Order: sequence, then structure tokens, then C-alpha cells
Amino acid sequence: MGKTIELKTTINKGNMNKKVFWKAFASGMVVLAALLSFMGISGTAYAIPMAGVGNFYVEFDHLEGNGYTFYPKMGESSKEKSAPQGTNLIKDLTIDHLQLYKDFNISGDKWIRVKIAASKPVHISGLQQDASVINADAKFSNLALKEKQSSDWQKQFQQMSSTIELNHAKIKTHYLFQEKIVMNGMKVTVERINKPAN
Amino acid sequence: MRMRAIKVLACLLVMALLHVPNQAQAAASGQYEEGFVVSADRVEGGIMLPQVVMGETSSAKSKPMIRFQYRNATLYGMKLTKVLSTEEGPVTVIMQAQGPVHMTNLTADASAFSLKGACLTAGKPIPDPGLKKVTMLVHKMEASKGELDRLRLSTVKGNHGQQRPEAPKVLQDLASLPLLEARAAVDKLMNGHLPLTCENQKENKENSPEKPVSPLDEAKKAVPKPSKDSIKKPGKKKGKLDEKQEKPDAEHIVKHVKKPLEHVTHPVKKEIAKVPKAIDKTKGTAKNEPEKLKEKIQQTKLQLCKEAGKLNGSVPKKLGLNLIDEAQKEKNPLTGLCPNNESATTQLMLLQDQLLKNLHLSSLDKDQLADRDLLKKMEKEMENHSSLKLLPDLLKPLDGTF
Repeated sequence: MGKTIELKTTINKGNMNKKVFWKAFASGMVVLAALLSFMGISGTAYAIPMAGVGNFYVEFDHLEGNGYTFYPKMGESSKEKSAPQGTNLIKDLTIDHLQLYKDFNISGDKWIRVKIAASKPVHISGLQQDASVINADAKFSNLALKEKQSSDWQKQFQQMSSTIELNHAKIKTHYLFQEKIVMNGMKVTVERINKPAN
Repeated sequence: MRMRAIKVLACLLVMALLHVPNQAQAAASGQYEEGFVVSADRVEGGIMLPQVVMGETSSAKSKPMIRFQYRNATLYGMKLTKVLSTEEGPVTVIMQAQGPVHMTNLTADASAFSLKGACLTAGKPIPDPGLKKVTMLVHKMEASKGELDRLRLSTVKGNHGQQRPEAPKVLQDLASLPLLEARAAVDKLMNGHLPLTCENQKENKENSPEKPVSPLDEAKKAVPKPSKDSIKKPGKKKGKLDEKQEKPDAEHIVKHVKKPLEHVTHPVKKEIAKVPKAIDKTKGTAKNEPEKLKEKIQQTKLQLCKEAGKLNGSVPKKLGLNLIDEAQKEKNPLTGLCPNNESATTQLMLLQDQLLKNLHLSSLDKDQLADRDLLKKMEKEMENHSSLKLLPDLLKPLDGTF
């Protein structure tokens, strides 16, 4: 199971809180290090969770996958212990120009972005992505949206499709898990940014 | 020890009592939130087929619904909302497309809906109904392909559901019936092609049929009503005359009374005179019409035979159906439709063989084949055995070949 790290971003107004900055920065680095150590040199990794860092964004140009299921759930977010989300399950998928990033407020209006980007197509098997918002141009085949008689509210509404294609996507993610991921051409960057709009 | 046991029991009792109303409340709210609301500003597509079916919801295994079927549909301004009851309050799933949504082989089962632009009849296809302001309480939606441009799928706290439409009267009545009776009623609705919406409009029309406006009626309207004064006035004048003249001239009085009425009677007389002329004209046109119609039918038949003669083993669906239609109209066997065109007769024989094979009727002997009612029998056979199988095929555009 993945390491859970809690980020505290309480900052005194007007002062650069170095302690908080280094704590936040270190937290991000620990998560990245954990991810990189999982992946090893070959670029292939197994059973990768990404959680406990609060919400982060996943962006990509194109995704093609098989065996898609969506259902609602309650899960942890950066602000609440229990917030509404949607679970997206995809059996096999390939993503072009994948970017994962998380923005940290280090002090006052100073922000940094820790970003993982892959220059080559990323292949994933057994993906679970818990997200509160998905923005994309979407294509589905054998699409079905249906409700089911169940006492469990999470099973009362489901969206399913045999294939899924997403273009120009931006996904506000809270939890990510892959049974297997092949990520070649990976690059990790830390950059200073202006206050993010989202 | 005994006190502790009593305390534990009391706690359990309180918990049980608290749990029961919660469950009841959840069930009640679940009932309210069954289905998901799909709305669209506009829906464009080809043929739409409304059917009555029994479908599953989150609270019932079987509920009467209208199934909307499109081969191709484009939804503009589509929004889907699903409100769910959780232990932490309501949660809403919102799926909204800023761009157009293209769906292929779309099927949506709705227990309630509101729409503008078409009146629905059970089992009767409507070519491109052009629906507007559509809101449906859907329980199942399927499509072989779905393209959603600029989609935003979000899951948020609170009840952000759209206004739920009302169930049409037909579905309300069906829902009040026991399951078996409801199923039988659904069959009746489907077989009888009964109206699902616009019932009131139809009733209103039946109750107050608009009479055809005749030229005479129009004329009557145009004529000003004879005023009471114009009749009374002569009376008054008569009184005055009595005073002035001891023996009033009767003819003079009648003329005096008639004069103000002339402007009323004259247009009416004129219109009445026109009526026999109009009838004569209509009679003449009616006499010519059957001859014209006969000519037209003959032309259509010749055209069809000509087209059939040009075929080479493969018959386009539209032409094939037109040929069958023509043969049925003439009460002739298909092969006897074009007796003067040899190549057309050969092609029609091929078409008949193929149809008989498809309907598993190729065992028919020569006498049965020569039967003038063969086409009717084939149609009956299709209705009895293959109507359900054939229904999806009927939705296909007529661009294929037999």
C-alpha cells in the first residue's frame, strides 16, 4: 500500500515560512521518490497507488482504453475527509503526452508545481482513478448509463462502455492506482508558478 | 453486572429505534430520487420509434416506461443529473456537454418526460421529429456509439438535480395496474398504436370539430346584421304618417321598409347564385380526376416495371417494397405485375424466390404461388412470427438491397 503523507499549508501572512515550504517541498519529493522507486530503471512498475497528497491534476492529449466503468463514491480530498468523487475504472489504456502535477503554496503568494511528464505513450493496465471533475472531448462505444435496484447508493448508478477515447483532457484527481504501468521518456520537474486559477 | 447488561440492552434498543426511521427516510428519499434526468435544448435525428416497455429502476424491478429509439441522434445542450442519497447527505453526478452529442443506435427508457415538437404514438415511427426542450426521467440509456464534445463529468455535494418532468397519463394509468395487467395493457397499447401524448388535443378536436367554411358561411359573416332600428323606424314613421295622412299608401310603406333591407339581402342573393355554379365546377373536376389518377397509376406501374427490367439480380430495398406495394394494390401475384416486360418478370421471380426463402415459405407449391392472396399471406406470416425480429430492420434506411 502507498505511503500516506499529510500536507499542512498553514502560513503566517506576510512572512515567508521556510519551515512550511521545506515541509511541503519534502512531502512532494517523498511522493515522487516513492513513485520513481516503484518504477525502477525499466520504466515499468506494478501496483502503483498515488494518494495522500490531496487533489492533483492529470492532463493528456489523447487516451484510448478498453473496459470502462464509472460509479460515484465518497473519498478523501485535500480539504475534506469525505468528499464526493467518481471512480473511473479502465482495464487497459494508452495515453499520449501525459502530465501529472500538483501545486504547492509555499508561502503567501509563492507557488511551486511538481510535474511528472512522459514524452512517450504510457501503457497502463488495471487503472482506478477517483476524480471529482473530468473535462474532455469523449467518445464511447457500447455506452450504457443505467440505474440498478440496490440498497448501496454506490451501485445505484453506473456508466459503462466497451471502449473509451478522451481528447484534450484535464482531470481533477484524488486517488490513482495502476496494476501495471509502462512509462518511458519520463521527466520530473519542479517549477515556480503564479497562483493557479483552479 | 446486571446493571451493565441492562445499560447495554438499553443502548442497543435506542440504536435500533434510531436506525429504523433513518432507513425509512433513506428509502423514501431513494424513491424520490430514482432515475436520472436528461435534458436537451434540441434533438435532431432520423426516424424515432417510441415504444412502451417495462423496465428496472433503483427502487422497482418493473415499471412502465416509454422507450425512445433513434438510429442516429444529435443532442444539443445536453445535461444529465443523477441525485443520490448518501449517509452524508445528497450527492449529484452531473454530466454536461458544451458541444453537440452524437449518439448511434440510441435507446432511452424514460418513466416521465416533457418535450415539444411531436405527438407520440406507441410503436409508430416518426421521421425526424425535431424535438425541442426535451427533459426525460431516464432509467436506462444505451448507445452503440457516443461522442460527447466538451464533456464535463463532475460529482458534487448537495442536490443539484434538474426539475423532474411529469409522467404522461398513459404511464400513470399503467403504473396503477397490477404487474400482469400492466403487461397486457402494454401489449394492447403497442398493437393498437395508441397515442402516448397529445391525447387532450385529439379529444378537443373530436369534441369541437371545425366545420369546413363554405363560401355561403363567409358571405353570411360579411353581411351586416339587420339592425332593429331600421325595422322599428318605419313603425315610428307610420305613427307620424297617421297623424299627417289619414289613409297611408300601403305600397309606399312596404317600399320604405324594404329599402334599408336591400343592402342586406342583395349580397346574400348574389352569393346564393354563385353556389350552383361552384357545384357544377366541382362536378366537372371530379369527373376528370379518376381518369387522371388512372393515368398516373399506369405511369407509376410502367416506371416500376421499367426499373425492375434494368436490374441484375440485386433489388434495391425501396424499389422492392414499391413493387410489392403495387402488386398488393392490384391484387396480383408479384410475378404477374409486369406481364408485357419479360426481363422485369424474370427479376420479379428472383425477388419472390428470395423473399419466400427468407420467410421460410419456399416449400409452397405452384398453385399456392399463383394464389392472388400470396402477398397478403406472406404479410400475415410476417406479422404472426417475425414481427419482432423484423422491427429493427424496418428502422434501417431504405438504402440496402434484398
